[in-house]
Amino acid sequence: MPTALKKQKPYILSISDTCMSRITKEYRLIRKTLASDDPTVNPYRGIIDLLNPIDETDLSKWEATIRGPEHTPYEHYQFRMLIDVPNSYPMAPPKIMFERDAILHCNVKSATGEVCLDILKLQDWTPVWDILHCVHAVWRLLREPVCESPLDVDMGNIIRCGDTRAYHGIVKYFLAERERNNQN
Amino acid sequence: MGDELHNRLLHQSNSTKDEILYKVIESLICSICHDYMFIPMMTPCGHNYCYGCLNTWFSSNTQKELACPQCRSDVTTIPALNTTLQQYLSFILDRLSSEEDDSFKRLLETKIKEENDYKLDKEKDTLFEGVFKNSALAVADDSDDGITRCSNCHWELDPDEVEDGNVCPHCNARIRNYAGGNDEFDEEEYSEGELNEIRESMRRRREERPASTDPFANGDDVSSEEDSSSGDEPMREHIPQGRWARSHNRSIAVDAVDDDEDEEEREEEEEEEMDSDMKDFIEDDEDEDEDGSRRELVLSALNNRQVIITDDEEEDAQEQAPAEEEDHDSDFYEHNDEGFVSGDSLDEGQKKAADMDSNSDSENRSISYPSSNEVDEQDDQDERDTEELDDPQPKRQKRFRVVLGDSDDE
Repeated sequence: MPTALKKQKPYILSISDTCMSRITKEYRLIRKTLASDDPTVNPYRGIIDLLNPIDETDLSKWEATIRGPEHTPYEHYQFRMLIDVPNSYPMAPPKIMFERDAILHCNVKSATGEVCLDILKLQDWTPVWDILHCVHAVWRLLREPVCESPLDVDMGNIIRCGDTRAYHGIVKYFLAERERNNQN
Repeated sequence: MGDELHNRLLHQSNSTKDEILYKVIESLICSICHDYMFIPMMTPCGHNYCYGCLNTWFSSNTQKELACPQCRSDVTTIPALNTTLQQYLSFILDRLSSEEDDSFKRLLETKIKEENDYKLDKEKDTLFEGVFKNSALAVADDSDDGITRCSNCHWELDPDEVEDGNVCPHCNARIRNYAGGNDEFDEEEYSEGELNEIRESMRRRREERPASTDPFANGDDVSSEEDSSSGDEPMREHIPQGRWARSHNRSIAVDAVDDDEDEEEREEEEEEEMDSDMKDFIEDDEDEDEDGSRRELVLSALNNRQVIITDDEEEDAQEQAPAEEEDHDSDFYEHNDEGFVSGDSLDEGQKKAADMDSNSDSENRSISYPSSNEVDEQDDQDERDTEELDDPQPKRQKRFRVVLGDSDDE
């Protein structure tokens, strides 16, 4: 890691320049895409309900709301994510977190909301990805949990045993509970 | 022929013309900064990025080998200026320059600045921070000692040391490809599901191979057929290959558990990202098997139980693919043609050389095979003379030799 930082130094200025201009462009495109009714332009209908900067003046903090995929225990629920765009973006990946205690999934640390997804790790990130596609990738993770590298080991083990019914049951219970707490 | 499209274009509606034009302009946008590429540089794998973006990308992640952001293949040779794209953009700017306003001026300023940056670096001979000058490939020659070495100074590349910064500890050259070395492979690192997947894909491939029409897959088909003549080899091909498998290789020395997940998730992403089906993808990328030797350990273990390709099968496969090889005999002569480069294989080798250029390092690593192969070979084909046994790999390997002869000498 130290090597990387050292090497990066001369570029910090240009990176944040690139970062700003790129993220502005992404924002424009995301707004256009998500506003469209044409499924070829906007394939994210029913997947990504919302994706925008929390504060229009600060494009480094974003929020997203995705809808639980069909035929999963997450169906009919919404999940809010917080996205942190680092200064070195797009050379480094954005940080995507779920809200705390808002989701139960074998690749999410429920207590912190941390997501375990390879493309969001520096090692496997490439600048070709953008925020929209990252959010979409997280949505796909809900549909296809990867039990081989669980952040939530207990949930991972349940899937590994092949007990999808138990997995679904627990998730459903958790989400129903979450809903009840929210109403109170 | 040459003006067919020109003529057609003239008779298109304006909306079609606009659509085409729009596409052309879109292809001038860099996928890193999402801006126009004033200095488009093309990687060996054919993807274009701004000079500045690519430069930043290469220096921003010294942890790993130089990889193309789009397809993740190793960038083993220095990207070249794509003058065609550059001229397109200049032409478009020229034509639109009459409507000069502030934002257009800024565009031109950026263009001039980027051109100057590039020119300066080129004059100083420091393109890409000299990363392609002071860099080397990790090469393992299994016919020698099988140890991964720096192609620059022949220093032994210890995976643990190289992992830390991906630099040769001796000559400080940056390693352009994966240098993970030949650490022991633990079969248990593959889950049962993955092993099944390997077996399954292997079976599928054997069935589908003769029907393949993918021009890019052809070369690999040949090699896989030939490989099947050595009992050990075929399995190697059927390990899931490509982007996710590569990253699997890359990090396997570090943390095998994580890797399993990487693969799975990558697979997901690929499903949406690429339309091409997995099979093509696998075949295309076979050459990227960077870690043959490690795999072979697992594979030979597997192989003993599961997947021995018999001679019968091999002949079947060859009969079904007459374009590749006339019959078993010609194949056999080819093997015995000790000039290494028979007329055929030379041609094919050169054809392949271009394709393989970007991967030549990985081929280097897969040139030679464990001695168990040689034993198998001996069983299969007693007629071969002993010299042949030192070179058990048929055409495929010869091709590599051709490539090698062209590029590096080891």
